[in-house]
Amino acid sequence: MSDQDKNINETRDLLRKKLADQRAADSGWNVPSDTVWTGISEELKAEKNTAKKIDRQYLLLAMIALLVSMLFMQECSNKRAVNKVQGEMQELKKSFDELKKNCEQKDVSKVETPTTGLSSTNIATEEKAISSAAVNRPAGRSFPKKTDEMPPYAKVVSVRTNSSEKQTEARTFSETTAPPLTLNLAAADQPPAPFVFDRKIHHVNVLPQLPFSNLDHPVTLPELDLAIPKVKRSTGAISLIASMYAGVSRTGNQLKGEKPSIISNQKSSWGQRAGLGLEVVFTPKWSLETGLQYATHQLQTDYQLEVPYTQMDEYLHDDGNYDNHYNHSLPSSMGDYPALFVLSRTSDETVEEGETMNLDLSIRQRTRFLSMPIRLRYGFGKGNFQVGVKGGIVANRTLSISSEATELVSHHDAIHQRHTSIGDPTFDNLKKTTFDYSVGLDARYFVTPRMSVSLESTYQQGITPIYQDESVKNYFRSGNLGVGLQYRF
Amino acid sequence: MTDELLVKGCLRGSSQHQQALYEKYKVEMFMLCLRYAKDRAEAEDYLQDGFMQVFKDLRQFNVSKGSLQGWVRKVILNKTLMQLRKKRLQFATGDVSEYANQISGSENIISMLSAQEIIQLIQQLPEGYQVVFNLFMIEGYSHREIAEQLGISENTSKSQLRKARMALQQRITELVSA
Repeated sequence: MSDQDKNINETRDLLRKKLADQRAADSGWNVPSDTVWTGISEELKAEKNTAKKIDRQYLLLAMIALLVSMLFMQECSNKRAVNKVQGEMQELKKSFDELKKNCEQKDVSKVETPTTGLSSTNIATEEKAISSAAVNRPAGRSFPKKTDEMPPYAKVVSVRTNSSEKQTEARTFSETTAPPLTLNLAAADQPPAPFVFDRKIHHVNVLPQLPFSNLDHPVTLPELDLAIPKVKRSTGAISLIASMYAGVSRTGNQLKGEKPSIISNQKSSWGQRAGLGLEVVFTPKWSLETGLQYATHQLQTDYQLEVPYTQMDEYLHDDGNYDNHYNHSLPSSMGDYPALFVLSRTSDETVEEGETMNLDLSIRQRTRFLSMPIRLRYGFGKGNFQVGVKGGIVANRTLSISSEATELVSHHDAIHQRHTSIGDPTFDNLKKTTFDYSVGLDARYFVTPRMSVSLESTYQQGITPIYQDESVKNYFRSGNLGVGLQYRF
Repeated sequence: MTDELLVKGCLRGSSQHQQALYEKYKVEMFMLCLRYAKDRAEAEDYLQDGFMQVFKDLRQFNVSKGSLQGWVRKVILNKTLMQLRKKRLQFATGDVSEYANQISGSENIISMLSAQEIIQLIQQLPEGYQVVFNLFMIEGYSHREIAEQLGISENTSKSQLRKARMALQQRITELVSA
């Protein structure tokens, strides 16, 4: 150990010993003022409030998205049900109008024509039913004339509902259960007409020789009073689709505000995106998709530096040239990079003190993040093909950022790069969680009824910046193209 | 209160625990900041930003890997250095050859100075000297570590230290003669 080293070590030990006493001095010279803690507590409170505010905003956004999709689903379901009922009502009204018209023109007591619309099965059933009844009826399939013995109620032997499309058991409507419409229809000697009973539309086949009363009276049909049946949401419509996705992204960024003057250009490049997805299918056309994707984003920032040359710190290198160190802070759209340039001056050339050196350098940044899209999808198509249009928001969480510098190019003939390195940037202003909006198109081909393959194209643009300081905001954007595989449960 | 309880309380967001942690280490950390600052106000700024960083990064602290005191010190030092770097730290290149023969014999004088006086002397050093001197002489960093931390060469670190010691020697001599 040299005397100088020994001397340094002794001084070092002495200084440490002197500074080791960390008790608060009576004079208070080593005690910070109260304003320091006040400032810290205020900043902590503000951070807490911001975090809460952001959490609330995210929650609100998620709730709005959920609510909108639920309303949409409900609306679609209602519209379908109403359309169905309206169609049936139209059919019923039409049939009813015809019936009314016929009844007004006829003297029902003289009707001898068989009822139309009866199948042979119905007739057989009807005959069987009537044979057991003690009624006096004429031969053949004609409506009976009025007799006093005849019971005043119609007997409907065949009731078919729209929903089941099956003939149900024959049933007799009693005074309390028989819908007036049914009785009057029977009395009117008319072909089967649908009626609403128990919130269902029934198609009725009536016996041709049914006994009924008041046949001498003109048939008065009640006003059609059809309440819209209570709409029931069809169950089992919601299904799930699991999917895998892989693709490439053309990524870029958008700087809003004052771009640092030494940044000459920013180039976007290709990134990757892959992940798993889950799609909730509400209707054949509408679905909500989400998932988790791993994505990378690459960006190259080019710098044009103007550094004044200085001879003060030059030192002789082994190769006979003179080296000099320059420290620089390079602003980027993600943070500031401390950079070290070791520049070499050729020994046989001179450079004036303070002479400007023009230097070019690029930094490539690679950002990795997790994305969670929440998108509403509208699909339409024919046969095995389906095309989808979708839109929504994507939440991104930055995982890591790696950076590398390219070789420094000097535009000065006498100056050359010896070594260039960049340190870790300061990420104080980096926002780790960001939100994008996303719109896109996809095309699906169903290989089997459950499985499909897809080609997807989406565009994403940042809603919140990934970097923000007093003068500039940086938003990510990307165009994505990928393939997917879907399986419907 | 143990360090573990302090950390747990702070992570829960308890302001009492946060204040307790601050009170426990404020003097030591303020003395650290004073060595890197030019005056008291600047040191208080470093201290405030340093503690904010401590509360922000507290989840990364692992009780099993070392003391809370050492970890807090490291975070505050890194934060302070980062701020100094942001200010585009200048490594002055003044001529100090006139003090070259005054290096030896300073130990006796240092032993006569108080901690406050030593810190005041350090504060009077040019910025670049001050940082390298602190890192090498007090924090115990090697020249390689200093070079990596500040993004400079080892040679620059060595020359800055030599110049810092010379400048300090001159100040001490001036102080004693006064």
